[in-house]
Amino acid sequence: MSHRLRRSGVSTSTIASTIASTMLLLTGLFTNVDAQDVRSAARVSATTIAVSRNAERARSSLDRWIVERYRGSQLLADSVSQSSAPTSDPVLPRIETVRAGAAADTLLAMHFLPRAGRPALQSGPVRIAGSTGTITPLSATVVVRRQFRAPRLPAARPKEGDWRYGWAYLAILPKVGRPLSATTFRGWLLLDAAAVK
Amino acid sequence: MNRGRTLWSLGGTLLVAGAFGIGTWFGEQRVHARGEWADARLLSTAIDSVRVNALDSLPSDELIRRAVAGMLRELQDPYAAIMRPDGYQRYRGSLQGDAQGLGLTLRRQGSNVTVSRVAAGSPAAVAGTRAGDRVLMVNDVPIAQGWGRTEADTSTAPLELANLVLWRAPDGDTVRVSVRPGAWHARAVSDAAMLTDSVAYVRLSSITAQTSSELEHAVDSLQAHGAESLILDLRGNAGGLFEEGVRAAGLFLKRGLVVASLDGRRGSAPEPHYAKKSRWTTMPITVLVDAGTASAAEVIAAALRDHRRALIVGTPTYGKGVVQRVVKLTPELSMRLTTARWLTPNGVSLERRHGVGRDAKGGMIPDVLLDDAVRRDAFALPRDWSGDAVAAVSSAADSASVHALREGWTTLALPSLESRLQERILTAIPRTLRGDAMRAAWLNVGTRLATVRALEAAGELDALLRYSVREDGALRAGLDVLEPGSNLVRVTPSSVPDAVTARRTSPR
Repeated sequence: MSHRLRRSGVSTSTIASTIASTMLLLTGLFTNVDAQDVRSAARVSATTIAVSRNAERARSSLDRWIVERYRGSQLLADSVSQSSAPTSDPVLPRIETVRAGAAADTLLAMHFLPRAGRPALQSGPVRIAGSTGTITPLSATVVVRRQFRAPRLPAARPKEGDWRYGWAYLAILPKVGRPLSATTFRGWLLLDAAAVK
Repeated sequence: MNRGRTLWSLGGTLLVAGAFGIGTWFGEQRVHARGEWADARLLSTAIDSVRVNALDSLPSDELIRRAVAGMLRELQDPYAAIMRPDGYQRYRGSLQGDAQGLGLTLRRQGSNVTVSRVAAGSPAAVAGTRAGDRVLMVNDVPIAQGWGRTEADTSTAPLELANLVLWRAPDGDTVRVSVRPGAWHARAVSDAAMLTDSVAYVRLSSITAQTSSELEHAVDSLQAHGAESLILDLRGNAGGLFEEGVRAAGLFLKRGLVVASLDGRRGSAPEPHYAKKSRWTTMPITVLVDAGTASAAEVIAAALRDHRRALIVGTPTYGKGVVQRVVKLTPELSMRLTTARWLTPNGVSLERRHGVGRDAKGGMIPDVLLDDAVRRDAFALPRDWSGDAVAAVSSAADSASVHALREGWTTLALPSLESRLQERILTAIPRTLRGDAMRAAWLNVGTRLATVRALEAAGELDALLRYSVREDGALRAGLDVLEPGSNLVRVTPSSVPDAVTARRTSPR
């Protein structure tokens, strides 16, 4: 790692911040999207700043959506590697909120699990299916995801039974060549693109 | 001796002071009474003067009624009103759960008009009308011609008898029923069913005189079917009787807990109302609310939340934090007046306040705050589709659902029924539809419509409710609280076959 850093001409302060971020990642306070950004920053700093800012904006937008939707919820670090297999439970994240944009729409989807577990989707391309499961040719991109827990009772106490665990996803759906309006997709499903033949 | 004299003189002083005090009080009361009489005389003189001198006057009783109405208007109490005997009876009847009419709710899609709901115990139910029946004619007028007519277009005489010609699936029988409008008791519990093996669903649509006993009966019966937790749907419930709201909430709270308090005119302490009949004090509950949840329905939601008995899911409630009383002025005239504010167990008023800023609104902010919590109709068609697309998908769904009923598919598990219907709908995709995305959306809507229509006509109302969870975001969010990750109707992803796509896109 130090060899790569030296080759790309990164300053000492960047190395220090990378080490600090890595430490935070190891302690579970950072998420793996940030970790990716840190790794990318070590390679191509100029382009990554923009990517990182977008990812940061998307992440804060998703986090805000979760905490506004579920009063008293807690955001958890995404400690699952992008390369590891998603959950084996047959869950399909459902699109709960749609925000129309000029060139693309933002889809916010989520699902709960019986217990804390793996996400249903990795970051990257996903397909959209209707509420009955009919797969459309439309593709979106999951930009960020977030594990969280939400109370099952008002003023939930620390004991496990008062909480439930879920995953939330923020996906971007381009408007180009799409005959369906954004509102159509509320209640529809996100599918792992790799799982669609 | 001296001591005795002192006591006598002290007693005398107190007596004189007391007499003076009482005299002053009586004097003030008399002055006050004289003032009130003077005001009353002023009102009476004004009315007499208007009656005698005004160019376009009104009869005395009408002038008095309007004077009282004006007084109430100036109070700025949005719920205050003057009621004549018929209005008073209607108001009283609505709080008792009295309903009047046929008891039919109709749904129009394209040129079809279908019975979507028949109120239990209503004249339509007694006459044998069923949800899913298609209405062909009403009093010998084809429904396509009669729909949309207003009272002005037709005879002004009230409907005395509705002779309906209905088309009934699956055999396509034509059924004739005569329904005479009448009165019946509209149950406050409008839906009660098992959503999963252990989660029950109860919808309260009003808080009328028998609500708590109807709710108790419904939950008892669902518990006998295995209910361990409950989704209580208060969406669109505008409330009703405060005391019934207190009784209904009390069923789920420990006996003796404060459900709500009434805070009357200034000076008196709030009067607490307690849970008296406790039944289910540990059963997990989720309450669904929306902007139409008001008054006594808010009493229930707030009490269950303040006592940590239920998580509230939906959108902010209406915020009617006051109660009214009806005062009978004369045999012909009654007056409804806001007489108290009700407070939640935590001492908060939910009354909606007009103004600016975040604190300007009243109502209750749910624990799970959704974008939209309005009850979703699983029969709904996309609003932005063309008339042709809507007619085509509606007709294809109808034909597929009738086929399903004839073949007995409604007895299959929901995923199997859905998958068979999807295959039927696939063959009906119009050639005019452009683009794979549109075809997939058409197939999705057609499959959903065919499934719900088949379930409705087969009378599979529990299955219909379970299926509707997919469309109803608030119900799904409520279920997520009680059974996180519950998959009511398993969705099997399926692509539109290439053959269909190719056939539709190839030049003709």
